[in-house]
Amino acid sequence: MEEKQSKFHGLLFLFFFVFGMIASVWIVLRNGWWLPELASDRETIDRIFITIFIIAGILFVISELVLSYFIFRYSGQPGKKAFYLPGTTRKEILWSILPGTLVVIILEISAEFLGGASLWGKIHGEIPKDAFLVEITGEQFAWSLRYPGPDGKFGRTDPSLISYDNPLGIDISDEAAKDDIVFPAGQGIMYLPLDHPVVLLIRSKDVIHSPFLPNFRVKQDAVPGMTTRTWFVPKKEGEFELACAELCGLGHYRMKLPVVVKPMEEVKQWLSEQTPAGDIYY
Amino acid sequence: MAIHTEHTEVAHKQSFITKYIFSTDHKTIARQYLITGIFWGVVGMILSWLMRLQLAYPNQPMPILEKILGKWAEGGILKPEFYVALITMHGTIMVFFLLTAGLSGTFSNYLIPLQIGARDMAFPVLNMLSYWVFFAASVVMLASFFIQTGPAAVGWTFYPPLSALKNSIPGADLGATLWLISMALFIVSSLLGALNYITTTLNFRTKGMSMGRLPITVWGMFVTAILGLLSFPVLLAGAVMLIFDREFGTSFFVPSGLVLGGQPVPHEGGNPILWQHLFWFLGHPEVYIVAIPAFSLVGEILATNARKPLFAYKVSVGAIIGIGALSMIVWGHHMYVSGMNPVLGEVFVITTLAISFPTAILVFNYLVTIWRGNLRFTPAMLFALGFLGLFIPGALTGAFLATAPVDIQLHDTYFVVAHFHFTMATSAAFGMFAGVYHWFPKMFGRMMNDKLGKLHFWGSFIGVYLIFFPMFFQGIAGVPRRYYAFTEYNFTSQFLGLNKFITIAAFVAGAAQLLFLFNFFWSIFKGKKADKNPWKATTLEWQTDSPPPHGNWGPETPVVYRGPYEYSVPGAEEDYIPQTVPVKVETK
Amino acid sequence: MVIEKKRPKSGAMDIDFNGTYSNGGGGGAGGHSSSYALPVQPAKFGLWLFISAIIMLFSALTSAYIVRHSAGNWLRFEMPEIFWFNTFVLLLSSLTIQLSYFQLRRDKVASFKVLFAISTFLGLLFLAGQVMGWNQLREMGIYVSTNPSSSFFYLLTGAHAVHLAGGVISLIYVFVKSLLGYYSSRNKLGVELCITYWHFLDILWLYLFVFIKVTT
Repeated sequence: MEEKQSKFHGLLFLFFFVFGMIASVWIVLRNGWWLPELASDRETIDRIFITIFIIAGILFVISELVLSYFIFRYSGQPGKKAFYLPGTTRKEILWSILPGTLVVIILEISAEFLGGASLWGKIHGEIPKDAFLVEITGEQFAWSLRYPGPDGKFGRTDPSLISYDNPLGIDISDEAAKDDIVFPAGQGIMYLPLDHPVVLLIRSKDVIHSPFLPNFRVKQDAVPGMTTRTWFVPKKEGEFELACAELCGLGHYRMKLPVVVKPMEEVKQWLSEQTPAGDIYY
Repeated sequence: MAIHTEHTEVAHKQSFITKYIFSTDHKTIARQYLITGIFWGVVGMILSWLMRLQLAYPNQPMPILEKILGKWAEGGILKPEFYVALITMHGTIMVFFLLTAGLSGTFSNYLIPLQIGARDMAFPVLNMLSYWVFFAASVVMLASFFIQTGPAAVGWTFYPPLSALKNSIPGADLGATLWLISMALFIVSSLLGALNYITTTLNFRTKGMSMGRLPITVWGMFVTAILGLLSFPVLLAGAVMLIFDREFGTSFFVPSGLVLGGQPVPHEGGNPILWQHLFWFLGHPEVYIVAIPAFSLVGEILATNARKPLFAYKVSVGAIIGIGALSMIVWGHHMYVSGMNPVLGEVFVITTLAISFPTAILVFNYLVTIWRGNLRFTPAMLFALGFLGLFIPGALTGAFLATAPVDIQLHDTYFVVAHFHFTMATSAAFGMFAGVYHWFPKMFGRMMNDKLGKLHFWGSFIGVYLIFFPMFFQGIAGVPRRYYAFTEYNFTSQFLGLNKFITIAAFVAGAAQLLFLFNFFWSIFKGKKADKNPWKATTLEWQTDSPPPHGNWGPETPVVYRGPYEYSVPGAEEDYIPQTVPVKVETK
Repeated sequence: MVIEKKRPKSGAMDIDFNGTYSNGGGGGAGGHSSSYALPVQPAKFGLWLFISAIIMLFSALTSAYIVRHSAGNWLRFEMPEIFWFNTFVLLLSSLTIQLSYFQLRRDKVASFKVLFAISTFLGLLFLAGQVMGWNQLREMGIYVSTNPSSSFFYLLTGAHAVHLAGGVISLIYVFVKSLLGYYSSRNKLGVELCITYWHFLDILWLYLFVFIKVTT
């Protein structure tokens, strides 16, 4: 090795990571960049997130610092010879496999045994009886809403009935449809009851959309041709935002729906003031 | 000797066209792939600059944009439909044209024959066809920028019905058709390449080059080719079905009863999720088609410049094979919230976390490789080390996204953007840069400028961190990806300031790439002449001339006597023993 | 120069633990004189890789078929009888092409050419028959876009026909070369490749035919 080597690059790596890590922590704390305020019963998601964040954070700091320390410590000098270590003995092979195994075990534990699997089952399992139902239908580039009305049942819809006046294609000949309350695209606000299970029935009229409620840890694609659903319990009163998370066209970025959480009585009161479908579509 | 002169005479007789354009020489084809790849890299980078300008200064007129882009930026403000086209084309170009064709095409072509001691690929004519079909795909893709409705604008994942209905967005019209044609050509090209790489690796190894003595690069390219061979046809199937839906009125992916913009859609009975399965069955192996070559180039460069054998070579090869095999059964983790059967979600959590096992082994082995080494900081080495520095956060954040419940929150946010730019975008680009700096002397017979290379590295490395690390926090706060502007929501508009910062970082990192471009093209003509083995490396390609003659070797192909990484062997005179040096028997 | 203590093997022949030498059999491209490799002709191996890619293509298409089929709204229709005839033609062509190969192996070049020509003709007949079958379907009112079942039918048979057309072109190419006196029992690589591919297309067709028959 004739070339002159220096510790310069090693030092730069070390400096970059140490300074970068401190600066990031400071900037993130100062600006309060974190998960949006939790407003639903899905605190399990936050718990798993934070657990993985801590584990991954520690692994990140350790491995980047080890990497930059190695770069600094073993920067070459003329005449020096590297340590011959082909890693062919059984012990060395065991060493090379061990860390990977540990990483996988830690990750599997944090993903599966902190309630992740059971939450997944709960979200996709049976919905509670007497849950509050809302149907949300995406189209380019707004959301329509429908509440089932006093009978608690959604009426039949038919795409062939869709028109400017009847944006969801409600079939009024169906008894259950008469008391449905419809908010055409872009004209509604999603009212949700506090501390009461809410079921979202998610549909789409044209392309794939994806209602995303950051504060409620809720996201589920709206797939045309099928009704997907998800359920959760709002735990905080106030105003929130619903965004679209699946690219749906040029207006994807502005497909917003305001969400308001209020006590059950107020939501019921508000619903009773709305005009049912039977009075609008003849 | 007679044979040798005959050989060089053959080389001289080639005309300009057969030597540089329709050449069947794997080295020329590799250089063609490299230069085409660099061209696409520049295009992709310019697209990302336009995106960053829009995100940093939404609704702020920039008259210069109107001058450059015309109707796509009337009044100096980018149109939203053009922004969607930008993200689509940036993704497609970078993933397929730069990091698949540019990376695999260059280094599989260049290194496989040279490192296994072959004179050329198994099927040189197919190899040439492979490049020219790729070239045709490139021309079609480039042409789509200049049509009235603009290039494809439905996201590089091409989810129907957005991509299947021509009037869903201007870019879903002719632009999407051209995209599908270009991709079909691209798939044919990559299949021709893969056939060659696999056959050559298995059939054309020189004397003594057993599979256990292949350099890790060849192993990586070999596994990559198998992955491509098995997964690209599935995308082709999907693409053909999508073309049927768009052109012949079939309904593979378009369900009944759609109403687009007030007009009923005449399709019935399709299933949009089917496309997602077909797409991600390719799409996820594709991530490793990009990452494995980068990983293997880095392994080679680390060992050479640490002057140490690659730690636990056999385990590393096993890990690469393991990553390849597992990558075929993890595609569902892209679809946790797609409406797919939730039981499948549970299965994919387990398979996805399992893939971190071979990946962790590989990273650990690479770290041990530099431990107690005698590191030599060539630009290639810096990029290889930078690869590790970028891959680590990328891989670790994969654990969040693999966990289905956490993915509910993070899916399709900037967290994903940051994650894949670290794991497979910038890290693979770093692997490619490392490869270019390392093998440039062999490819062009001249050295690249060392100082400019190092400056390029630090500009890129710091730039990449400044661009993508903040995006993790945007994603954690819930900012969805593919948004034209952050202005519409309270939870996104808090990041308008940070967006300006990221955009500035993007331009700085981009400026560093200009150093590379200058260095690359200047060095081809004016660089210092390189000798046979400037890095004192052990593998076969360094035992022939720089650049190697037509046919690679003299009259005889080399004979291999030892493994690929005999660096700093105790008792040896020098700190490297080429693979061609016979093993002496100790006699007492 | 170097002394290796851990591998007490003999000098230059210390080569390998899991392979055999090959004398570069069959030559192949680029004048590879000595290679160390699989005991398979590279071109044949490449063909098998190509076939595995085609298998992936058709398994993707048929899995999509199964998924879609189980979702209902599936129009059942009877395949026109000509497809039975086409199947018979293709099976026959597989038989004749195999017989032609046996003739070539015994250096009976004239009868090889006749049988090979018959196979090529049967291949063309199959393609013509497929086109007629599609026409009959269209007359029955079953178009590409009528129902997912018909879309899949046209897609699968069409994709097979495209691959088979490629096969016919290579048969014609080899046949013309055989007229120019290229092939003999010692030089028959091109013929072997054609025959492998042709048998594969035959089996692929049988698979598709049974698959469609069972599900419609």
